[in-house]
Amino acid sequence: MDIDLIFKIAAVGIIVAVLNLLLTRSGRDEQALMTTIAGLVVVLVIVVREISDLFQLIKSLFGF
Amino acid sequence: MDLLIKGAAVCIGASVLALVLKKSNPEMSMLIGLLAAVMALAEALLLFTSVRDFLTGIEAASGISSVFYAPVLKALGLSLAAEFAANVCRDAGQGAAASAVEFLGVISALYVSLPLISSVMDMLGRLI
Repeated sequence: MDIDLIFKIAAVGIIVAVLNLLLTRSGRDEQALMTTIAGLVVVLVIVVREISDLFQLIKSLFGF
Repeated sequence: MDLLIKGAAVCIGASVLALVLKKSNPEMSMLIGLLAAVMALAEALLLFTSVRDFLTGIEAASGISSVFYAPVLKALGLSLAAEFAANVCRDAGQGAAASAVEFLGVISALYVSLPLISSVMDMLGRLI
């Protein structure tokens, strides 16, 4: 169990939130949206890898 | 005990971080909760490996055919995966998807236990 991954995602979330705020304040709304989406994709890649590992484990463990 | 304390700490820490992020970007907070659940579940399943080996040993010693034992294990795995997915969907506010995946889990468990039911029917047919 590596809590580093959770911290990593939280860090990405905070950075995205700050960037989003800055870009919105400076009037670049479309870039703020792009930043949000990019951060979401990065986090999604990490999470999907973990979920795939979990389902592989379930498959091997329960004899499928 | 160590593992439980570690898992509890990870889940509580993740919940706090998810609450912090909830206001600015809720999708990130949901993913943090999901990741914490995945980690705790993976640890639990790694512990379950030895339990399963023990059960397999008992099954081999008692001479019961694996037709009776395998569906139970498979249904356990199916229910675990289905409930996990349903709870994640419900956390994200998608109740319809959650109940659909729960129903899928029920039907899959029924499908997996079909050989068991048919072997019981065979046994009854031979008895009569």
